[in-house]
Amino acid sequence: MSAVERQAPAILSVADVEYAAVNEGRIRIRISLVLFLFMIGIVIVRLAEVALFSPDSHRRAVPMADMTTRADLTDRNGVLLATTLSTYSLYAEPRRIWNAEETADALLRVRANLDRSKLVGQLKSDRAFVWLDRGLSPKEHQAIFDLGHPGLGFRTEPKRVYPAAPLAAHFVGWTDIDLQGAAASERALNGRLSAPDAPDVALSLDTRVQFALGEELAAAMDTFSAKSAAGVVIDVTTGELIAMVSLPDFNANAVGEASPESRFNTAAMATYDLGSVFKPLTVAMALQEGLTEREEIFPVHKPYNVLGKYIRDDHPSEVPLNLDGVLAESSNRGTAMLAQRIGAERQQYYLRELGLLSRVPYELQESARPQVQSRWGEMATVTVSYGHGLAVTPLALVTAIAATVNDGVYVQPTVVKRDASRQPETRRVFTSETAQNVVEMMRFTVTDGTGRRADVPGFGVMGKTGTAEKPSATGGYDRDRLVTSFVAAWPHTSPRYAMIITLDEPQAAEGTFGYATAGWNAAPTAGRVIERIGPMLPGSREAKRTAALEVTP
Amino acid sequence: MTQGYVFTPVERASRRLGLFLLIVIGVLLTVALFYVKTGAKEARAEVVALERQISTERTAIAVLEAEKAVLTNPVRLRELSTERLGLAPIEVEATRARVEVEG
Repeated sequence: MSAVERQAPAILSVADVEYAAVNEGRIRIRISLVLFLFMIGIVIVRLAEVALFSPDSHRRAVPMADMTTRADLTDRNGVLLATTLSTYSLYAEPRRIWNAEETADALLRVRANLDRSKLVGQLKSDRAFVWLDRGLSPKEHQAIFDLGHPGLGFRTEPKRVYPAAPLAAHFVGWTDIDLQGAAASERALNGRLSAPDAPDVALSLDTRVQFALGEELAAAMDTFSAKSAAGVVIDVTTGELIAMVSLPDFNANAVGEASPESRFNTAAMATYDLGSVFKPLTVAMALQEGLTEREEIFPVHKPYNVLGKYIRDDHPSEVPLNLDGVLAESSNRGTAMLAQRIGAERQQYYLRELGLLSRVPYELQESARPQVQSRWGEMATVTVSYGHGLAVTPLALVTAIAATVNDGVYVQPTVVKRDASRQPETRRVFTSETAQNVVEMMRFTVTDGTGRRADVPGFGVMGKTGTAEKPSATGGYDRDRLVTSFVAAWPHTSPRYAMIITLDEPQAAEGTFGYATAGWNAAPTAGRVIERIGPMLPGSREAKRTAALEVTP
Repeated sequence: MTQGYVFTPVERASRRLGLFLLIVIGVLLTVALFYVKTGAKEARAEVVALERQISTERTAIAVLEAEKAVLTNPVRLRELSTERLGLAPIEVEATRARVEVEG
């Protein structure tokens, strides 16, 4: 066999042919195998990539409603004042509506305020998409959903809701359609409220006090036919505004329908010549400067002339009065004498320190600048001493009175509840001794003077009335158009709260014997308010003095 | 023809065993990965469901809080308490400080 092979080397044997075929087959198989493995490899790598490294897709499934949020506003006790709810906006795809009239009737049963002809027109239009209504409540949404019309759909939209409305409307404010604060606290605290995951903000307001103050002011406005009314309650030790009412008020849930007058924050935006409520400040200035003492006797029973003009007292005293009497009887003459001693420069200094020559420096934009005379001569000094010729807001005045009774320390007011981390900015204006004297004299005004109708047993009310004539259109003052105010502070033993009540153009009413002055309207209103809010407010009650304290001089 | 290395029967058996073990480990790992992956997917689905539930509950709570606030609005309470119960604001004569009672 080997001999044959050697003889014919060029002839391929059967074995060689088979070997070559098998060999070629093997190569093909290997190529296929490599290709196959390569493709399997690609599939495995892709599978691993999908399985292990695919991005989280579940976030997208969370409903839209959570995306735009705005933190709630509450009062100092956690009562909800403003919150954000999801409302539903209704749209239609008219091409999928088969019977426009029937659909319109069904919608009208849920939302009666829709216009039927307009609705039918919208549903019959050949547009692909129309908005029908917005601001639907969850119940209305469910009712329309239950109709089962395929051409109707919803989108959720956040909406600001004020459950306590119309309470504290001027204090809380409102937002625009994009949920951005447009007024008052909503505007002032917009950054804090609209930040992502912002915590709720507690305002300094006490809803109960706000309500009681508002109700009594409304009753007074009604009784005395006043044009408007304002009231502010402030914690003198912390500067927190416990209540701030301006009447007429409005419903913050329907700001668009409110009149400009009702949206006006009278307490913080209206400037008035507030009258004799300035007198405690003048008395404090004179005592602070050492220009008088409480025992000094003033000849207020005689006419008093300043620069050729007689200073008028509404109810002139028939006898000379000491300083306590000047304040209690609200003598313009006595106050004028003090003002002349103080002088324009020192008077302006104290007024500036008390914050009466600039806008009230609190969070809200709603804070009017005072109207100050351009020429502040001796006559201006005299008239300003009893509250004429310097127009300030009720809020500004109560802040100044609060500083006077708070041991003479001015505390910057705030609309946000204070806690340990946010101490108030303070500055001393009067000494403790001066402040204590004014406190005693304001108490005397309520027990024995013009403020008797504001006294509430147990709360040690201090106060001062103020009746001012409004400037008339023809120049001078109009004796029939009054602004009456009462500033109060309590309790006398340890002053904690100050309040102002202001009535714009009150009229004489039954039981006031034809008088429309502050002692007959603002003072009794203040008394009624303190009677209602006193029991609710901590530290309101007058501490019973012990015998040891009584004999201490 | 050059013959390559010839495996002994023992070696051949151990090679097969090694291959078999590799396949078994591969299969086990694949199955384990499948289960882990499925578990993760289920957990994720649960998270989504829970998140959605939390969101729904939050919305519901907000609505209830608002409703509560509307129902306890002092204006409304005043009307109801006056009409149904004949209540009125406390008069100061009817109140006493605690020290007065205790002392």
